[in-house]
Amino acid sequence: MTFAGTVDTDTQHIARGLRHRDVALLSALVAQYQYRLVRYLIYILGSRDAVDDLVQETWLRVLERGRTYDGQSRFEPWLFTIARNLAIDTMRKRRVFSLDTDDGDDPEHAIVPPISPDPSPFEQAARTEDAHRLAQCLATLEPIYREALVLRFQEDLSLQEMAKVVGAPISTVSTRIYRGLEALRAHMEGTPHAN
Amino acid sequence: MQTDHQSIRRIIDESLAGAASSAPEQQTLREHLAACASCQQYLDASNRAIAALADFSFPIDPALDSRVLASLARCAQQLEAERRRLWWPCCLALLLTLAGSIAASRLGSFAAVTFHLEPAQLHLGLATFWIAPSLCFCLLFLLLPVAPALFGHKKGLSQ
Repeated sequence: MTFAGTVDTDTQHIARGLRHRDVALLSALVAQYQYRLVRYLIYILGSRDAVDDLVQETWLRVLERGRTYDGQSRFEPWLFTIARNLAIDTMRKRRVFSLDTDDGDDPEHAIVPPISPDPSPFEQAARTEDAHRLAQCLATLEPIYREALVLRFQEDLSLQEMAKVVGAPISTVSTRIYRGLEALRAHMEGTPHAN
Repeated sequence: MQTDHQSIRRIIDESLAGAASSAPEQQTLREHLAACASCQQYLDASNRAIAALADFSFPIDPALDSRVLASLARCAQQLEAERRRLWWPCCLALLLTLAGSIAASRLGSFAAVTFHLEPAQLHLGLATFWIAPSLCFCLLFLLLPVAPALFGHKKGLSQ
């Protein structure tokens, strides 16, 4: 059996379970995806404040809307799309900053979240010297670029999957990856990147 | 030469971003990197930054999983109870539709004889204006549990 065949079986199994609101399957999904979901939300929010509530909301939404997952594509992009929509709703309510594609990729149109005196979640989570160096950059990087970086390099999503999650064309997604990477590279090389 | 570096770095970026690059591009990239220290450094810095992204470990509240599972179990029970509650009105509506249709059919036959009407036309009229709309109304009850998923899914961004 090919790898693709295995993935198909897995996703179809998930789709079947979600259709039947199988709590045992959901428990397994929570165990499997919880850390990745938390990480994704931290990357797009840039803080830990609302993450736990959003994680809970996301799983409840998965339970309620499970019938809309068709099992034809991977589960992760679908999960992240739900989490993203909920995170955007939260951000809009707080009116802090926007991840919406309407803002385009022009940094001047995106409002950067206020800088907190507390260490950012990235600084708290950094485990190596390189990570500490990047933490400062990630904390100040715009959410759309952080999101592109985590989806591409941590979640290993394809450009097509990323485009689906963020609801933007592949070219836009690619540009966000380039810019995010450029900022990280500048920090690694010791040159602060003009964000 | 400047353009050359830029085009090579574009290929590096595209390749890291996951875009497919052609075999000639890959060949050009290999040859250029073998001879160009600054582009090799660019690639190394990119790879180092990407590798460093894996060096973050976000702590999770140990109670989060149990909280999520508890709320999922509660919500699943509520949704199931809601679904079951909707079956009764649906069954009742179906029963009333059937009873009403039979009664209307009997009355129709009686009226057809009394008023010398064509029975086939009368039954067609009943089916069109009574039975079909009633059945459609019954079906609406069945659609209620999935209505939020059908009509209220996309919020803010398209999926």
